[in-house]
Amino acid sequence: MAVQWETTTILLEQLQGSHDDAWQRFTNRFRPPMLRFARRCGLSDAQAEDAVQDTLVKFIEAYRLGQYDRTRGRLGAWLFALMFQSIRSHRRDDARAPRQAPGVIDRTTFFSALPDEDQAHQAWEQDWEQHTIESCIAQLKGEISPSHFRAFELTTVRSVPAAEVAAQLGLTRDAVYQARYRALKRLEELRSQFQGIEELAS
Amino acid sequence: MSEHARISELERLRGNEAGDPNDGERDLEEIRRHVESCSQCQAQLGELTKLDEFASHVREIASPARPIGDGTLQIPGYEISHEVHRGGQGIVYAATQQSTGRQVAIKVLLHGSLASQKQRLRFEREIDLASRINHPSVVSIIDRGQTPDDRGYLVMELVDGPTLDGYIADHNITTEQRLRLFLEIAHAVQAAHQRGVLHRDLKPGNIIVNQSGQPRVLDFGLAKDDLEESVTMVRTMAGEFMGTLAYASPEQLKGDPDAIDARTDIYSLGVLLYELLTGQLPHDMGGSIEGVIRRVLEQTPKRPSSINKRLDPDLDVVLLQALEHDPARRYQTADAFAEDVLAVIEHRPINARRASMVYQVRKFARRHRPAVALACVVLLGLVGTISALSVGIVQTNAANKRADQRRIAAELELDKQSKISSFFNDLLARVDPGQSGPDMRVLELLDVASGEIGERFDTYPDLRGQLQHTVGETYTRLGSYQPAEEQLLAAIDAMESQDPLPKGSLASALGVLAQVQTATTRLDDADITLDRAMKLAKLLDESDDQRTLLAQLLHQSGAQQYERGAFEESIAVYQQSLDSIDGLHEENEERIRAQALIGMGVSLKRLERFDEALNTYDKALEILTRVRAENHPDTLACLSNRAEILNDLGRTEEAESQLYDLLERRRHVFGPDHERVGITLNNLADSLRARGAFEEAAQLFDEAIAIFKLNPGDPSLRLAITMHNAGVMHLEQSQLQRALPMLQSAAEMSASLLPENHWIPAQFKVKWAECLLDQGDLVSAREMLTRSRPVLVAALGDTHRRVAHIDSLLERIEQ
Repeated sequence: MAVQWETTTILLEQLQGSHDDAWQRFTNRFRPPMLRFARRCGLSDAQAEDAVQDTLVKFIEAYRLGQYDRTRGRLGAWLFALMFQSIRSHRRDDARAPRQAPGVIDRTTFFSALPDEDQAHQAWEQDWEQHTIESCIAQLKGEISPSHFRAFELTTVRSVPAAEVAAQLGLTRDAVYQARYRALKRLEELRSQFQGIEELAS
Repeated sequence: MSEHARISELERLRGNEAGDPNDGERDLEEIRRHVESCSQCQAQLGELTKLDEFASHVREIASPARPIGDGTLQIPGYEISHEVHRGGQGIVYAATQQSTGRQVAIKVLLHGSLASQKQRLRFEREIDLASRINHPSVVSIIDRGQTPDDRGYLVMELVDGPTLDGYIADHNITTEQRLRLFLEIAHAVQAAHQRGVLHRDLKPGNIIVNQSGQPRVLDFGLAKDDLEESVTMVRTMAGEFMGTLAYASPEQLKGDPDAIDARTDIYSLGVLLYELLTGQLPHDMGGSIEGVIRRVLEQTPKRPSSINKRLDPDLDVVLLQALEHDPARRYQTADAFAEDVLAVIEHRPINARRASMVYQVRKFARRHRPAVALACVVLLGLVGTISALSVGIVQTNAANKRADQRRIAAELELDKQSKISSFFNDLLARVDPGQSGPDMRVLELLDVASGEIGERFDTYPDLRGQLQHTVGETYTRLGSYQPAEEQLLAAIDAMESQDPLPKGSLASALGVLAQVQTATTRLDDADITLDRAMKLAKLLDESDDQRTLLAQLLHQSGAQQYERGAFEESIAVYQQSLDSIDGLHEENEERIRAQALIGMGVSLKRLERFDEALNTYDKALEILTRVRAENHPDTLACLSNRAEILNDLGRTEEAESQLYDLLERRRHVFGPDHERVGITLNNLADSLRARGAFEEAAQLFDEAIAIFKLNPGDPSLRLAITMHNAGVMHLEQSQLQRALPMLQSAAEMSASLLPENHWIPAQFKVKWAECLLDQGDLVSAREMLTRSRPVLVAALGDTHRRVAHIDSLLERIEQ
């Protein structure tokens, strides 16, 4: 399977230029965790979509104006600040609006009980990281052989002992460990690239 | 080894992998050696460790059981209010049971959906058991089930309060209050164990203290749904779960699921109490994961009272027993642990003394190796002796049903314990290099001990006898026969005054006395002593101890045969010993086997069966390397004998290099003037002589002779042997004036020390005669040769080259 992978750094560079689809690719990459976070913060699906859209637009404007300097902070942190602002604003609107019917906002959630910024940030970090790792794992899956991916998945994600994995996949234990090692190394690399911090990390 | 370590081998080194012999992997030691010397493999190892943290992070995130936290959790019958805690195992929510309005905690397990059917059944069974634990300090399980997306959940009573560590941090409570808090936890654990439920993950975070100060233990039975998985989890997630790692037992860290039982929880309880009392964990949790694991597996924690000076020293003993590496040496039940903690609170004697003294010495030995390692071997011997006695006392106590008897016995025990304890502590203090300089040696320690035992234990002949026996035996092993005999005779005296007669101990002491008598060439006395020892030993019931004792006495018999020149008989006796020890306790069996092999080798050498002798020593050495310390006297003796054989086989260079090494080690262990150093000097000189390095040899002979002249008593036979060897060297160089007085003295000295017709003086006379012959004194030479011949024929057989040599000398005279 051909693997298309671009680092976030490249993607950001393309946002500056005339790549028409760069915006779309950027949105595809970062929308899911933002949406999830908005929902966790008690927004309805429609409100969450709005909040994400607001945030992305604000980001692109600021970015094109050169206000985002990735050496001064990670992309994730930058997006969080914009996102949280947007969610707060939606929540304020929500509180002023007359309640029509029990909606998602009545759902008992962590954040409806404790909506302070620190905890919200913590939750954002979790979602952001989960999305990063999941995306990188999906990429990794396309890059390595199915049996090596399986070896990595079983040993690392599911904590299955190497000997068992070896028996299951018909590999030597050493091959299992090798596969795990290479996959983790690559995953680290992909993670840096995904977060746009690969040069900073080096 | 030049090949780099494979990753699977490195994982083994990190303790993550048991290894598979069918994979053609090298043994752990070999891998370790390679890695220590290979920077590339070290870097790879570092890389693997670095990746651990990332791997656990990935696992946490990518686990299929994760998708909680988006606010969609629904459990029928319960109204979830908020998330209380998120941990490695799952997420805890506060909720209301809709039918009753009761506040509950719901724990949704992260790993539930991964479990196989079998694992799930086992997990459910264990939860069922756990739900039946009825103890005020155990948080009870109300309900369990599966979420719609197939994750397991548990409903527990909601306990409000801080976790144990938080409680301690916020409350300024006394040591006694801490101990009492711990007692409740220990009782809760015992209640669970009685139901067959292990916790496997006891730590402060799993204990909540409620408003009235009562601890409540959480998560019984659900700690791990699969032991193997749990171990893997601790390992793979160690970066994240350092907290858990600190409370994990050595057997958990070793990844040995078969070894995990109730005593695993005892260990964790030990860590808990240690932390409660000192504010510190028993082991430093800093640095790399494998470093932490290694420390837990290898190191002994600091005495708690060295951290918190106000702690009762008995708590050191109690805690160090709970934290023993070997589960068999820990408290066997939580109740037994609690019982000793209560004893400390109530200022009663504790039951844990026995193991801890041995432990302290071991710990001490490890800290100060190698300077006082051997001294500690001696102390261990003493402590072993004391321990055996203490156990006897404790058991007797248990048997005493009547209260007054028990009180008297307890007082007696207390007195004995305190005497033992102070004696032991004083000795330990004296071998502490901090106090006595780095060179405190075993002999000095023994002198101190032997000077005090009689007085300190005058009212307890049982203790006195055993201690003097141990000291006497150690002196013997070190070749200090005079003080050895004094201590052994005193020990025998003390033992004979006891009723009933301690037959085993007495036989053993007599055996050692026979050894001293043999070494000091009183062979007839030795025969009588050994005969008595054998008879006593045969009266004992058959047991491992009895068989070990009999084997040791057989060795003594072999040694006596040897000294009489009955080499074939001696070999047969050692063979009898080897045949008799199969099936003994492994360590004993190995040691006895090594001793028998060494004894056999000595006789084989005399019979000039050098190849067989070398083979025998190699076998012995292989065992000794496994079961004895590097510089143990037995190991050094074996090396010394082996070097002699190498010389005999003409492998002089090899022999010399071993002897130089041995010389250094013996000087280090015994001190520069010890007779063993003299023996090595003599052997080395003899080897140099054989290859013609006469000058150097002469110098070493002189040094050896000077040492033997310093030591009174037995070494005069050593002196005779060394003078003989030096004389032979001069004879070979035709320096007759220098050779003659040495050969003459050697022959006369040995004749005065050994029985008539002993082969050594006979052999010495042959060389003396040879020297006389060279000087032209044919008459004296012929007379000496004629007298020596039948003695050597009897010992060595008439075809032996030494006999042939006599014949050739006689022929020369006749011509």
